[in-house]
Amino acid sequence: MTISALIQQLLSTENPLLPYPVTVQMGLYISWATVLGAGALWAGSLLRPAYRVGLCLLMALWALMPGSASPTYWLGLAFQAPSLLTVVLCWGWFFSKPWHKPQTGANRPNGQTLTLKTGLVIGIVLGWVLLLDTLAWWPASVYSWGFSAAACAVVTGLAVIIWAIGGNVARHNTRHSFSFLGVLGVMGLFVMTRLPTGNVWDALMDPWLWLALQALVVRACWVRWRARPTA
Amino acid sequence: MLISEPPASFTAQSQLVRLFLGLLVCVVLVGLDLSQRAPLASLAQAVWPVADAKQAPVSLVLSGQGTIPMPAQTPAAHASSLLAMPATHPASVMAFWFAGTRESAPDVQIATSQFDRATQQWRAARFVVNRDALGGQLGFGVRRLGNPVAWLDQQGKIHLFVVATGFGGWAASRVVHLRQTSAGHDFDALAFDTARVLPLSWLWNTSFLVRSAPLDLQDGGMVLPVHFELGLKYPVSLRFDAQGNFKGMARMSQRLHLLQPTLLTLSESHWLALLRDHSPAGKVAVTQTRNGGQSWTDLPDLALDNPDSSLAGIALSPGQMVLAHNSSVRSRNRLDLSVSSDGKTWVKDKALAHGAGGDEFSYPAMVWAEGVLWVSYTDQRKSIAWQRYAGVPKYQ
Repeated sequence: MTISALIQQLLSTENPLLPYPVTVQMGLYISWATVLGAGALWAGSLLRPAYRVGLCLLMALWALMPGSASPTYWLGLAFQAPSLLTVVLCWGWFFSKPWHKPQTGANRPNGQTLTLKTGLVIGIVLGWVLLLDTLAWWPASVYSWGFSAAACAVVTGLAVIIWAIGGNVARHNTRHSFSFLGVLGVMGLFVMTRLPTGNVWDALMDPWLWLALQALVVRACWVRWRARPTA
Repeated sequence: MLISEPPASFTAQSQLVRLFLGLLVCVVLVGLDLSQRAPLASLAQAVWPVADAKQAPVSLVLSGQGTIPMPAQTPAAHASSLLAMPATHPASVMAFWFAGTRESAPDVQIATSQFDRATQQWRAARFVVNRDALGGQLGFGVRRLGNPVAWLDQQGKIHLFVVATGFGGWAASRVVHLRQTSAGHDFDALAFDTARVLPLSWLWNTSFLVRSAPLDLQDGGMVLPVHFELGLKYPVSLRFDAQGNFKGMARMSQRLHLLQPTLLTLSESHWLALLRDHSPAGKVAVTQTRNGGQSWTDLPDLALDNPDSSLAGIALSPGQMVLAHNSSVRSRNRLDLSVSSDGKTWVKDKALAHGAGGDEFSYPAMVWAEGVLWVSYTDQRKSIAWQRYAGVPKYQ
């Protein structure tokens, strides 16, 4: 393959790789089971740890049930599948064992690292770009770029640069490395499975995650405004 | 606990190591991605339905008409699509449409019938897709079905593209791709498996609809026109390969009030799309591509009146185009057939159906099969009417 052919293949949006139908269905159920399980874990924060984990597992099992008795059947109808990033974030949160650490003011994570803040901003901007693209505000279709191999390269490359540069700022914070590994994990899963749709933007960001990111920013601004020194 | 700052050289070295490792991972991932992709397809080039210029018709003569039988106890029908079958098939043409108690009713299913060569009659219609079975195959619910569009691949399998809605009305639609289960010719055994929901939008993949016939390509694939319609409306063309695999999408207009494009071939890679216009202009809108659908530019509206209603166009051979369209600004009670040599200037050739007041003859579909132009359309939202025009060749 010549260099120009390689570049053409890299940039082309006309040879997308889509997931197999069976993978799509499995991915749909596993991803909603993960998200609903994490949601139950979060909602049950006042419960004892054992009950909290039990509730989480029950919700996940319910979501894995086939047919219209499953919440996945209706969530899929309305919202299709959540993004891989949402699923990876839920798994990451689950493995941080939040039931061992009641989220009181004393032990709540002390602010966000530079990497997380950067990721937050990129995520919010990406969501706006994709929403406005859906509404045909841009002269070219940004969504269709997500079918190209170049989109994978750009996303992974950007994650690498942020990890490398931000690494020294947040060298002693393991969350920094975990956030990089999270994005890398999403890209690795995407390249192997093509979930949820074969488009890299759908793997990185879904409208609910985008709304959640904005809610985080609004909450942080509100907390900062409340804590401002008064005259 | 205080942590002492590392020396500057250590920091830079660590940064370089991270960058190198990260880029290595990046190269591996992209290499893995590229290795799975098929070679790039060549420029899309359309095929003409009338391959031999000597067989190109100079006029069309009505040779049959009627109503396609409806499935039992289904009072409503709409949005038909026609499919020309190969010479080895027992039917010359198949029709697909949606039918039920009313448009958007939960009992609406996709119905089909075929025009048998032997009996020269339409077969009794039967349902081939319903929302419960579709939901079962997809793994999630489907609220409503509509607008089937059929395509035949080179292996003789029928592909069906249908609109399936999520929460909400037609604006919450998705385009579902189904494939014929086996390539047999038995009409009573015709069944479909779900291939996938086409990934067309980031916003929960909502608000894309299909309506008009695909344009066949020389590589055995096709281009399927679809449109977005959540608040604003714009057309998009989708490309598929010879096996019916999705190969990409391109927006067809910068205007935000155009929908339901129908494709016309001017030359192999120079095509026009005529569109229904949702604005008060009351005309037929036009876009064109000169590179096989890779990019599109808007053209001025046609002089043809249209009441924001679906059109069906077909280019039979170079310089021979036919358009079925509602021809008044406010009503769907007149459905006409016009002809053109350049796709821009149209002359009314025939009246397909003319009524009065609130009569509706709409959503036409056309196909060319073995020297005959077949037209179907919604008749009063109650049934699907059909007409057949024999082409009189130039050198008879």
